[in-house]
Amino acid sequence: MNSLLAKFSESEAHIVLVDDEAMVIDTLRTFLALETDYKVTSFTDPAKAIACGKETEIDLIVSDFLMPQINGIALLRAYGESNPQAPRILLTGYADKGSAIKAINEVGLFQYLEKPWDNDQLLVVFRNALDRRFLFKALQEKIAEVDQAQGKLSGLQDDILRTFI
Amino acid sequence: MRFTHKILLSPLITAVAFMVIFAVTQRAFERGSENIAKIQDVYFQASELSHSLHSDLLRIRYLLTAAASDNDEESLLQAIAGAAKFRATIERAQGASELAALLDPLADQFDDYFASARRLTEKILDSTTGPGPTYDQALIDDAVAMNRQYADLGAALRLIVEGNHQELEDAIEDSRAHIGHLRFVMNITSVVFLGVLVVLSVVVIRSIVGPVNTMSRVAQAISGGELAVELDYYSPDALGELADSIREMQKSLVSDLARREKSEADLIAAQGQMVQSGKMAVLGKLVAGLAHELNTPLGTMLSSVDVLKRSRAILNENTKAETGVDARVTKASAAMSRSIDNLSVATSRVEDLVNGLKVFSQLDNGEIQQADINTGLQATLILLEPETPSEVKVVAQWGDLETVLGLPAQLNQAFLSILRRTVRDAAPSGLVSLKTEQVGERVRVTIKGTGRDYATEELNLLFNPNFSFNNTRVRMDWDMATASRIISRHNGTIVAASESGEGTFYTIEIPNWSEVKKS
Repeated sequence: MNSLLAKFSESEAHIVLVDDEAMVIDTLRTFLALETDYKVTSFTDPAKAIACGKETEIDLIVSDFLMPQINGIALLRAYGESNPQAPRILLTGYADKGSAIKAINEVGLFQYLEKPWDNDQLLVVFRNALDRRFLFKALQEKIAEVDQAQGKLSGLQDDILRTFI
Repeated sequence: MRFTHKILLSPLITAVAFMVIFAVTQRAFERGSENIAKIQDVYFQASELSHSLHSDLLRIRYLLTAAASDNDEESLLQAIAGAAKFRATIERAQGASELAALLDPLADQFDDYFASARRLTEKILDSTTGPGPTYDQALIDDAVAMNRQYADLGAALRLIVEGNHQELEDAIEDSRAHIGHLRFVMNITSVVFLGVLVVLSVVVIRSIVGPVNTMSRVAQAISGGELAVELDYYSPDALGELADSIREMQKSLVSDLARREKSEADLIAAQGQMVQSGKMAVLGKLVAGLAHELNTPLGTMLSSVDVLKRSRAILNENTKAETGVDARVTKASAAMSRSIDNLSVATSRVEDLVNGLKVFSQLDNGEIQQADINTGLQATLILLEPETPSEVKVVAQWGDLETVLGLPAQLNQAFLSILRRTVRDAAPSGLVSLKTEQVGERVRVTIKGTGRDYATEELNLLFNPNFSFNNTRVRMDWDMATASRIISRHNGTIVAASESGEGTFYTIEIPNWSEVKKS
């Protein structure tokens, strides 16, 4: 297993943060900068964030729920289509558990975090999400490798058979 | 006496008066008629008789004189006939009238006179042979005697009339006296009856007006608001019925008023409840908005404090060894460190407060379930054990309950707040008793605690957010207000009451089936 994870280093992880409150973005960035090496892109405008998602491949998307014009669920749904491999995390201002549960079902949430969040808990959740992301990525690569190897092997088999027949 | 009878009394008395007066006048009239008859009989008859006799007498005298002077035998015979007629008249009168007493001597007198006169006349006739009478002494004496008798007769005749006259005057006097008497009687009767009528009228009027005034006064008092005034008039007639009706009206007004006052009181109580839950709803919205707004800066503060702490740790590790550092830098470093700690404490408290506000405004919506109140309360009592002083006794009576549709976690929280307060009031050694029962379609939880009673004003404010002076510092106490909101959200009611010296008890009722309100 370690070989799978060996490829994953923190500095590769690209996280997108979306919240209409600038101070929340800044606080998160400050903390992540102190404790991690993640690459962080942040947006206060959900429309811009969605546009970015369409163009870039990312590893984790974290969004606030209550935002003007486009809410967190809609944004995460959009990222679900544009970046399906990236785990989706919802930051809820008040524990509107009903909405969160709905999001988990509709959108395929990885986790929801309540505001105010606990920094330690946040770290753990991010790490778990990224581990999963990179695990799948490694798995996919491995599968691709295996496919390729199998392809080669089949080709080889065919050659041998052709040689023999 | 019935008042209709009283009213009839006056005309009745008047009628009787008239009848009496009529009877008296009738009697007088009869008496008067009698007198008139008497006068007629006695006086006029006698007068007529007297005149008739007088004229007869005159005629007789004339005839006799004529016979004597003319020597006429024929006249004498006529005179004799006249005398006979005279006698006959007297005899007839004697039989028919009351003058018999006077007529008897008259008859005798006449006889005497006529006898004398006749004798004289015959004498003259006899003795007269020549042209005129011859007068001798004997004749003259006879003539004188005859004249005297004639005079007596005339006097006797006059006497009839006079005697009659006296009787007439007596009769008239009698009549006059009688009339005077009658007038007197009538006056007296009229005055008496008038007096009786006036007195009776006054009495009757007062006996009618009296009760009417009483009833009018009572009715006015009732309309003025005094419903307890007593109407003391009883009577079997129409006025009595009126008094009965007034008393009935009084009774129904009193009961109506009592009923109205009771529903007013109920209405005020219900209004009070509504106002309270309305207040709580508004407060809830306000607090929800506040909590929501506070959340973001709170998150930033907490995270930033945490980052500061982590940074401090890193810096402390790396700058421990430095010496020769400016004293001011050291001070600054120490100050920063202290400030970080203070910030941490402060933000921690803000976090607690915001959590309390969130709970109060019930932003945390859970799932609606079938809650078993007994189970919840039992769990709550367990939670309370660490906080309960050892000398405080807690007893519970569990009724047979049906489930309640609602949010169990919140209901438990509400009960926890109330129980906690009750336990705190009961310290150090009071009694807390808990009872659950199913009442119709509601669950009733009664929580009683000794140790503290609240005045009415305090009870009214019990479920408002209050300042609490119980701890080491003054803090806001949202627990009871939150409990009240939770219960009203479940369409239930909570009432707190105190009995002086006996403590306070809370009665919570929650319907088994009701739509839990959103917030």
